[in-house]
Amino acid sequence: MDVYSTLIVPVRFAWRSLWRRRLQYLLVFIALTAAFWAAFDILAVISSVHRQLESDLRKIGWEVINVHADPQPLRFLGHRLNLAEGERLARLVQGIFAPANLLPSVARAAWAAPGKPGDPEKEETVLLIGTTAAWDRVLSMDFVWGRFFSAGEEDACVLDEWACRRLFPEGISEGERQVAKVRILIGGQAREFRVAGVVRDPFKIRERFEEWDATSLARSPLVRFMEYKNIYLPRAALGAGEEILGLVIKVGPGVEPEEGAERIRERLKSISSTALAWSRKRWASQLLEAAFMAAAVANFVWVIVLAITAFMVVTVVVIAIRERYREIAIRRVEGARRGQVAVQLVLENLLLTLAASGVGLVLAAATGKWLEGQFFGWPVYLKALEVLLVEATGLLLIGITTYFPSGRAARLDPVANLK
Amino acid sequence: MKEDEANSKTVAGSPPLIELRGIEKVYGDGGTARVQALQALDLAIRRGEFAAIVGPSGSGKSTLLHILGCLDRPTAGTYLLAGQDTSRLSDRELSAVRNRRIGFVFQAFQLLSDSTALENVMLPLLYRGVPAVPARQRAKEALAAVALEERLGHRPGQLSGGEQQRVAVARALVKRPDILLADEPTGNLDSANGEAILKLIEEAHRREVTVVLITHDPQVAARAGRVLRMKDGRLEKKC
Repeated sequence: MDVYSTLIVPVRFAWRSLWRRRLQYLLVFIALTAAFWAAFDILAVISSVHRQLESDLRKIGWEVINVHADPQPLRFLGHRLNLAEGERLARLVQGIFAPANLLPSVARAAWAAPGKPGDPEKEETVLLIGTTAAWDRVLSMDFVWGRFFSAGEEDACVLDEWACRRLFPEGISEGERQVAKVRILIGGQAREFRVAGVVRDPFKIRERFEEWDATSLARSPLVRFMEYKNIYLPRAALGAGEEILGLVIKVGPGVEPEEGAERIRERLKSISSTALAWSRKRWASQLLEAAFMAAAVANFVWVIVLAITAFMVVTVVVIAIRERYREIAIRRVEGARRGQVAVQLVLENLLLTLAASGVGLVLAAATGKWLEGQFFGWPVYLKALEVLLVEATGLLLIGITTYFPSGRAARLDPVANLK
Repeated sequence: MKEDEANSKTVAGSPPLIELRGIEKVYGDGGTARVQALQALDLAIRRGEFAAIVGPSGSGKSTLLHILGCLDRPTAGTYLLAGQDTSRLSDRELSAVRNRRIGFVFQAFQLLSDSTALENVMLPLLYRGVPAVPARQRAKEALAAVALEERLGHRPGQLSGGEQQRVAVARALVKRPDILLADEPTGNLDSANGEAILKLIEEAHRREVTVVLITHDPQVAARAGRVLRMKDGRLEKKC
């Protein structure tokens, strides 16, 4: 094949034709740019959410099993675990995981923070979780502003970010210098604890995400309950008669958390306990599956956006080509092969698509930056492969849809169209 | 006359460049829509001849020219171009024949309206695969030969009718064709411009280009070495 006359020459004519008909092609260009802008942004947002979610979920550690009272209101009120029951659970679990890292938890109803002078005290219902100083074996220190409490440090606590934000809307200083104190009601008596650290929100956009999750399909109410409103206290700070809400178990290497959770469920059943056992791995997997489904739907949407635009473009192309029958006939008379004419007409649209996709990509990048700052706090970007995917899909759709009218025009009888 | 001498010199003894045997052309598929444009047409035109085809409207002149230019295929019969049966050629090969061997000049000029004079003349060379730089150079020379070197960057809309037809002649001749087919080349021009175009055609003929010219004008036809009269799709008689 003579590459020069088959490809280079049509490219040259296509480029000139585009330039000469720039006003005619402007609307098509705008439509294509908007379509690529939308396609790039849809893919950027969804794939960024997917990536960030996966990254965050990996960081929080999946090798954890939670055992706790059923947070459904009726069951929660009707049956709450007590310390004895918690210890019994612990013994049950000990047989499954050795050495198990058990973190008995205690629930109290309310706590209050000392406000600034003149500020009313604030109260929130929270979940108190009694842990050991070895709790950092469950949660990475990367996720704590400040630190966990030390062994024997009974007057320290660690807030989770949600609780911290509710209590200190203006924020507290990070690190060792944290001097904020909270007053917590335990057994009806108020005790003061120093805030040693704040567990960062592992999902960064937790509250935003909850707004999206209107149907609660991504996360069960149970999971929400466990995610929010936690204050971690030294286990020794809690009295023997205090109620237990649950256990956090970090499974050993090579142990499948869901299998462990299943075995715990069997044991709970054998003692007729209504406590729930669930593996974070399973929950995280379900969350990722939901994100994957959202990404699949988003992919479908951007392909549809491009396809609809391609059909719109081809409608314009058909009309434009009809107005160029005489030009096509002249080219054929002067020796252009059908293929050269068809390739030129297709290339005009492909070049336009390439230019529009470039502008669309720049606009999408700007929108991504804006979304990053305004909406998510997550980096919104596209990988090179994703850009290529959108580009290739757009070019393919435009190429296929414009090929047919172009090929048909190239096969027209030149004599009939010279008249 | 000089032209006649040139005509007789190149024609004498040379084999036919164009040979039509029993050519028929029918439009439509029967019934009232069926039109027999050409019937049982035999014709031989030798290399270097200057032939004019005359006849009333609807006599089949343009149809014949389109077949000679490989723009259309006959319904029946054989068209041998330089001894090659064109009916056996693919569309791709016919495109190459038009591109390399045949120059066209039409009554309505048939220039690309959004291209400059230079680009119009470069068109066949680029389709032939001539690189842009030599194609540009040859196109400039062709336009200079028709005295349009000052109008290279003008588009057809910015040129007079005579200038547009000179661009068309330059585009036809830049290919260095064997045959120049001209369909009423002076039909849209005033007498001065018409005369200029005829002179360019005669000049091409002197360079041994075979010319087939269609015209209504007896004075134009008289300048050809041979005049063929058509009526009802047949050649009436040979002159």
